[in-house]
Amino acid sequence: MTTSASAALTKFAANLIERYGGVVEERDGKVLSLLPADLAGLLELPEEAVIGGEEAPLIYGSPIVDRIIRIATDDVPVVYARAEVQYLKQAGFETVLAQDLQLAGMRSTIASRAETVANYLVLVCHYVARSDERKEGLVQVAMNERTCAHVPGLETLWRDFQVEPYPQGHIPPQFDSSPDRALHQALQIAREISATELQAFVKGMRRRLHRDVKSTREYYAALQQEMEADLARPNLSQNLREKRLLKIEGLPDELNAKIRDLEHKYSVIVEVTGRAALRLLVPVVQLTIRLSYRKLKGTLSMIWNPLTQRFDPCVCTQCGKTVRQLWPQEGKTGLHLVCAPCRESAR
Amino acid sequence: MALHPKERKRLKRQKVSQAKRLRAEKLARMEHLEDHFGLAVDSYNDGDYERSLRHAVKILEKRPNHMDAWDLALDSVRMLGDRKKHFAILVWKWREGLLGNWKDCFSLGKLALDRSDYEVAAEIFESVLQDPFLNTGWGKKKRVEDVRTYLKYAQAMMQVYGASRRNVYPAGSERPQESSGEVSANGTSGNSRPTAGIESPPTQVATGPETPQEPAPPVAFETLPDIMIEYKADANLVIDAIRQCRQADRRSFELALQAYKHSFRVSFDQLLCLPTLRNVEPLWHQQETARKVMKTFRGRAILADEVGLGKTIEAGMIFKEYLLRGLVRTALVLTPSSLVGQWQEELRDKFGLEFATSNDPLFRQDLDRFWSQPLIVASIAAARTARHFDAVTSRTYDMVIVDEAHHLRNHRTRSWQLVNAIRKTFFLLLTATPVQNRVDELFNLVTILKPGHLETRKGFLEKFVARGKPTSPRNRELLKGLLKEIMVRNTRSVTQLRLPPRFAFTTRVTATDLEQRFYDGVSALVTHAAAKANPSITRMALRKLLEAAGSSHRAALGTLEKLATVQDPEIRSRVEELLAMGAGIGTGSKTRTVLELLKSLPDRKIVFVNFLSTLHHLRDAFKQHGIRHTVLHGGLAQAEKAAAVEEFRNGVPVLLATGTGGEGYNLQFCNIMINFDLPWNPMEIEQRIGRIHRIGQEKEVQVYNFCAAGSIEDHILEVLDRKINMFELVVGEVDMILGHLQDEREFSDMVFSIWTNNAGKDDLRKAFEAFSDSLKKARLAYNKAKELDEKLFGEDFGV
Repeated sequence: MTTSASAALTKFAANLIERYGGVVEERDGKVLSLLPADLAGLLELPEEAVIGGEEAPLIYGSPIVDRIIRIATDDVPVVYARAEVQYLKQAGFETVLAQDLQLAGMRSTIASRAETVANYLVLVCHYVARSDERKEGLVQVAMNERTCAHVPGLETLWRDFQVEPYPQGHIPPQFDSSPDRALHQALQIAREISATELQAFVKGMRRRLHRDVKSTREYYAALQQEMEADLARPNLSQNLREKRLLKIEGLPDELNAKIRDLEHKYSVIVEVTGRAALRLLVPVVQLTIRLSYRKLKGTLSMIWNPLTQRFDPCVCTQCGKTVRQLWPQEGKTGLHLVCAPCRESAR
Repeated sequence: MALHPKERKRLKRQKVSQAKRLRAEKLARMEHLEDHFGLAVDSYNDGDYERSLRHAVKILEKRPNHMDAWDLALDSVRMLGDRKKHFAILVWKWREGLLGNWKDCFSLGKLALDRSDYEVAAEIFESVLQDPFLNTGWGKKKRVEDVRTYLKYAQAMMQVYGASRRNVYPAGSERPQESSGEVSANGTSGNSRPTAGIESPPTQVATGPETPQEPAPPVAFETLPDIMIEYKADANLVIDAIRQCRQADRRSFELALQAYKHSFRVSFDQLLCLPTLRNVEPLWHQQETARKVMKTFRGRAILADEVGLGKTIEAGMIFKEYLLRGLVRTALVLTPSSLVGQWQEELRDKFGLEFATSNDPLFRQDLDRFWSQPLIVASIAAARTARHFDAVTSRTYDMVIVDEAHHLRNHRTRSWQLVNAIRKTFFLLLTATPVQNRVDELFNLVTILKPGHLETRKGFLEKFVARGKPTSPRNRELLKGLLKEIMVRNTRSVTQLRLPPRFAFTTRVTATDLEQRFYDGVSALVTHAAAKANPSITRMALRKLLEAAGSSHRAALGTLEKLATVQDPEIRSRVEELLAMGAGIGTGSKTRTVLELLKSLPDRKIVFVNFLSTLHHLRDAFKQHGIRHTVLHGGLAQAEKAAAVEEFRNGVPVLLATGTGGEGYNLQFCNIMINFDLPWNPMEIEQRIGRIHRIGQEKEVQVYNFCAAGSIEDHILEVLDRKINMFELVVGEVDMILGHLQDEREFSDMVFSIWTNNAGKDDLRKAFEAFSDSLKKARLAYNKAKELDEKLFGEDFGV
């Protein structure tokens, strides 16, 4: 274990103990700690313990580290907070809008502007890919809870701002008590991101599968050739000949079974699970944009986000995909704004 | 005829307007194509490669010379990872004459061969041969020859299989599923363009062997299967937390994130199973072996450590590690029948894993239920029978472990065929002697693990076995290199596991007249009841009675009391007679001899007994003779056991223990062991010895065995001590020797059968001599195999 990894682990242990009401002192890579009775019980340590010492070594995979990790991940933390923003944009929206949104073939004018508050959700997902080895990681996805648009970058940018969590039991009514749609959309995006992160892993598995399948096929092809050549031996009895023919006929089945074994061995199961969430109220500027396309008219609401310093992306009214390019489509209820694939499929 | 000026003007106007219309149409078409191109580029940039490919194909249908569209189409299929579409587009490009130089075309031809598209391949190779650049420059002769060889092959395959043979899977067999998230299953033939129909369903036709006369299709040159990927997504934990208005502070949020990140640092280098193991401290070579098997061999290996170095521990660690990481859920351990119980115990006691075994009643009662258990230890002899074969091979196991895998050395045996037919993901073969008689046995073992790793049998014999010398390998370095990719073999010298020697002393105690009559009476009762096959007394009960009589008269009396209520009047009267006789024996001559020995030995010593009644008998005798002692048996609580061991460590000279009482305790601070009685199972004797003859023992170990002259234990000792020198063998070797016996029964069953089937003394002596001879032969065979393995592998396969 590297020194930095060791230091990070020590720091993590100390933080956890403090969080659960313990008193700690870090000394020489060890955590001298006074543990509350509950925590001592969970950690299976005396109330006065040296974590990182001989009795409780802080090494990855050691029982004490396992217990600390278990305690920290036992619950699914959902934090409710408000981001404090020093400055909200007042003018020059046209330029930013032109950069952040493409309205294909439509005329647009800003009809109104208002300062308001928008809800965001940062979902932390844990993914585990299991094949003949395991790979896991965390992905974070930020969503606008109302529009269900994915807001790339927000999952990290919120840390640059002052974020004030609401006191226990004081969740403001602006937070929807069941933001299922936003959560499922976020999970879908987390799945896509994890698929990208797992590309190398999958590639490795594919390479191994191909290598093993190829060599297995080569073996069976050579075996078949050898067995067929053996049939030409003059002193082979009819009985033996038939037996061998039967064996030769069975080779493709045997090969297929071996290949299925390999496919099973290298198949990948990816589990993406939501593990934590941050729900943020952010002061934003909301613009109402008036749109016209041929004889059709409509409006579009856009949110300028001070954390990303951009307009949030929009959502296709047909498929719900997050986009920054919208196409007009005539619907029964007037002008619909759709993404390029939806427009294409409707044509 | 001259036209009227008006007519001329009309025609001219018509021509102009037609030209205008054509220009407009052309412009519209171009715009349309540019639209497609724009959409294709946008889709590509958005990562929607299916769509980008669709647009590119539309452009190419109209303008095949649109090179940007070709690039976009090829890039899109590459990103999609769809080899079939990739191939189809390349063939299309080749047909348009736009593929590039002859090298590209030649590669495409080879690709067509790989896909069994022989007609296209032949066509391409023919066109390559026409290419003037092929036949110029350095190396032209070889180039042309290469292309011709490929062309000939493609033409030959066309004659055998027709233009193409697209599917490796025989009719009716299951096609592996395509992944949901990765690649679509669309396929297009190389003979057709991937037009808008690129999204049409696969047009694969199963053309496997239909009649027995037809040669089985060759198994090479097929499309390689793709990885199956399954995604599962779950947000319920977060949804529940939000619905229940559970509110966390930011610190908990950050700690959870950090905790997850720390938990990912655990790779196979860090064995998660170590803290979960009980009653065992894995040695460094065992840990390294587990790591190597998982990291380098990816869970498929031969574990060929020398005897006694802990292959079972290594296999158990690998299995537990995979289990903890969620990579394994089901397992099958196949062992010789005599080791089924031992495996079950080790997996339970050391790894905390509960396996169903072929010794369980379930195995006899409900076969289907038994074979559907997730974790199974089964006797390979039972599993390979026609009754079980289909049940074993009809499912897939995440892990299969075969112990004593040298029994798979012959590919014609049912065992080999069974293991070969089992579907498995991870696979461990355990054997201390991978090669027993001939080098080609290695081929059978390796082939079952990794077909083709040592080529075919013929190829292996030609390359690696010296002609006429089946025990001498050729091309040793090459063979070693190949074996190193799948095998670990740790040796004592490398692991530095050298223990001090051990010596055995056997004392045959002459029984008093009463003791002798009592023992003979018990023996006669057992022989009589066994021959009568009395349903009220099981064979097991009779064996137990004889074992008890060999231990002490007190143990025999306890067992006889249980038989006093049997219905058979003859047996009941004999039992009553024996009870009366045994009550008069008193201390017993064996006890007196042991008491003398204990007084004469100054060091600490352990006295092992097999029966609790014998332990009580000895405890009384020790008290009577003022011998300080402490007691350890399975009935004590954990703390009491630990206290007894601590007392013994701190100076109490005698530890009186049952075999089960001593389990899990390291008693190597003591070097003298007294077997007051003798278990009939040699493995149990080894386990007793193993309590003190283990790592950490610094003195030579002395083992004192006691038995009554003429008893069954006397004969067992004769066989084990005099004939195969069991007490001086390395731990584990007895097992190996017994494994070389042809008999599948347990050792204890064999001796009991000899005892009950041979009433006369002469017959008994002859039967035991014959048994000794077979054991001696087994030992010789084992020694031969050991020498051969040492010669073949040496110390080159250690971790």
